[in-house]
Amino acid sequence: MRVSGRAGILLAAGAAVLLLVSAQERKPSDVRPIREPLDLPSFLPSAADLKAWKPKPPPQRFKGDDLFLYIDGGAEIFREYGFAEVLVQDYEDSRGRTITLEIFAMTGTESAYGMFTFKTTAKGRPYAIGQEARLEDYYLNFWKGPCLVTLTGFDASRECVDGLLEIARAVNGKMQLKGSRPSLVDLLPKEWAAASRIVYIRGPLALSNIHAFFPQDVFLFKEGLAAEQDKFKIFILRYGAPAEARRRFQAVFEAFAKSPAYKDLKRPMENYFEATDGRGLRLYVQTFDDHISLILTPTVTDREAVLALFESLSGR
Amino acid sequence: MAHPIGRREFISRSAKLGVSAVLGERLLAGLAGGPGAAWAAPVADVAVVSGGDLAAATAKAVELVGGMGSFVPKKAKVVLMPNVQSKNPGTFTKPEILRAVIRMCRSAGAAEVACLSYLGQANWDGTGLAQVIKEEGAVLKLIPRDDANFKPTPVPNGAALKEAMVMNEFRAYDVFINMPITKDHAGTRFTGTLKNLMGLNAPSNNRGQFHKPNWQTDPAAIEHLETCIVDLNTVIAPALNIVDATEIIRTNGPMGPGELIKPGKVIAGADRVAVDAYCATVLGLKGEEVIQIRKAWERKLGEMDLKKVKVVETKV
Repeated sequence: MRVSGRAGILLAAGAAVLLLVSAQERKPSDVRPIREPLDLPSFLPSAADLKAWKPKPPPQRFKGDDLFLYIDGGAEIFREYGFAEVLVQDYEDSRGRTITLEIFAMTGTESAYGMFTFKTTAKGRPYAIGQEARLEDYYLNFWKGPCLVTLTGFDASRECVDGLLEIARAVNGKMQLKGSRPSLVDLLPKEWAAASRIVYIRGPLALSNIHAFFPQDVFLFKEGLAAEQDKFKIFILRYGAPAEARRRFQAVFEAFAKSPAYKDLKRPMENYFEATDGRGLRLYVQTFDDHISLILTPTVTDREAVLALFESLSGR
Repeated sequence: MAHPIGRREFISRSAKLGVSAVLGERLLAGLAGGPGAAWAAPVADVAVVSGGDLAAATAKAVELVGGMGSFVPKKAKVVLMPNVQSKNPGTFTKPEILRAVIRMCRSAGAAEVACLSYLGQANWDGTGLAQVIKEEGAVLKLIPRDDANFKPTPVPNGAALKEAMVMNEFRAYDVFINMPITKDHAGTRFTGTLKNLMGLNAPSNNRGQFHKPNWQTDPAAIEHLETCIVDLNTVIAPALNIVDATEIIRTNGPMGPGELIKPGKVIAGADRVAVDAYCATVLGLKGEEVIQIRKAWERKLGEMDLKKVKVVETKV
């Protein structure tokens, strides 16, 4: 199989243009460490702030490595995104039912946004709480500035959902914080805004959780983005500079070539190759500017759509 | 048709399963029925039972793998280990399943049925498991996390873990029944019977040996964790595994909250690798894709090829 002539020319042209784009315009997002610890207890709603719920003392607080004591087995992913501390407070209603509030102070707004995207899906119902909020069955997440807030209820009943929303809005009202989404998110084509899941990635653990390409860390990216829509999965991995992305692309190609888990490897262009994985998924890999993009599809017949998607990425 | 299993046959069975005698004869006795245990011919290696009545489903699953009498000799002291990590839906073993297992152990003639845990009373209360233990007259022993309560235990065939720290109290029991809930795990993508054994190992050892320093999240660190899990499984052998796959999270594991799916299944089997391989499929994974399952199979702790074991699926 070969890349079509038109698509190939467009891909090459797109790559050439993008290599000329100033690095300033695509400056990778930086983690901005919190200069001073946030006053997390000040974000806790009191009984007076709520109608049907009251805090059940005492709150719990875990900082740094102590997160392991709280989320035994699940702390690493927070660490990868950048974790500072968490405050946990239960709220109880008159029937003894509980909603748990967790306020995670992350090390930057990108970290909070990233953890939010990791924990949520587009199945969740969006709400205007914080900078972005999603309600999924019995739990609600929102992010605001460097904070990720998670509220977990007891079931998906109206009473539970009302409680989640009431407490979330009360927390939001006490948080005078703001931050920006990572610029990498803007690389995603507009039509992917409604993707079933968009995850901002800060390291190999999140990447392998979404799709395990290799048992080793082959990509060594600075930041990344994964999105899923219909039958397509797309990964955009960003590097410090275009030259670094090109070097890494060659290393990635060699890793695919050596791995017994992949077959039908084809490299019709210097900056592009394809392969098929053990599940029969076709993988398309390309480098543009300071990033490597990977697209997974169920069949090779999706190539034209994939190439169009690459073109779309290169035009942004 | 049941027949008593002799001591020699029991030891032979244990040896065939590659179990180390490090923890001593009493726990080995829990592997496949101790001397004098009734041995019903099992219908299945892995029993998968669905149905709304969880007690009935659990009883049927155990019946299909030989009946509780095959695993619990009369007057035996039995230790059960449900997963009680979090009270979030889909993250802990259902109380109805625990209740059914306690009752079956009693019916088989167990002298004592207990749960051991270094997690706190709040975990057991929040999940409703403490109430079941109390109502059924079983024993809940909460073990302080101090190292003094855990005994250094050599791991002779450990690939990464050379010394475990197993709960002292564990050694006072004859039979160990492992009762995890299978669910997503942000690091390993899967958790089931193999990983649940970390609940018997000292938190300091889990933290210091299983997890690489500074919470590394590269794939090598995850592989190290999974290798340690398998190493631990070479010195602790459950007699029986009963897994809750009724309502589980497939994202944000192991603590949640995460997306709930409802496979509605209770899974039982003495071969923990086969049981985990089946559980992996419930989460959309193949057994060989989960490092700990693949490594456990490589170490001959069980069979991960579901075509080579008898899987019986039924409804109640």
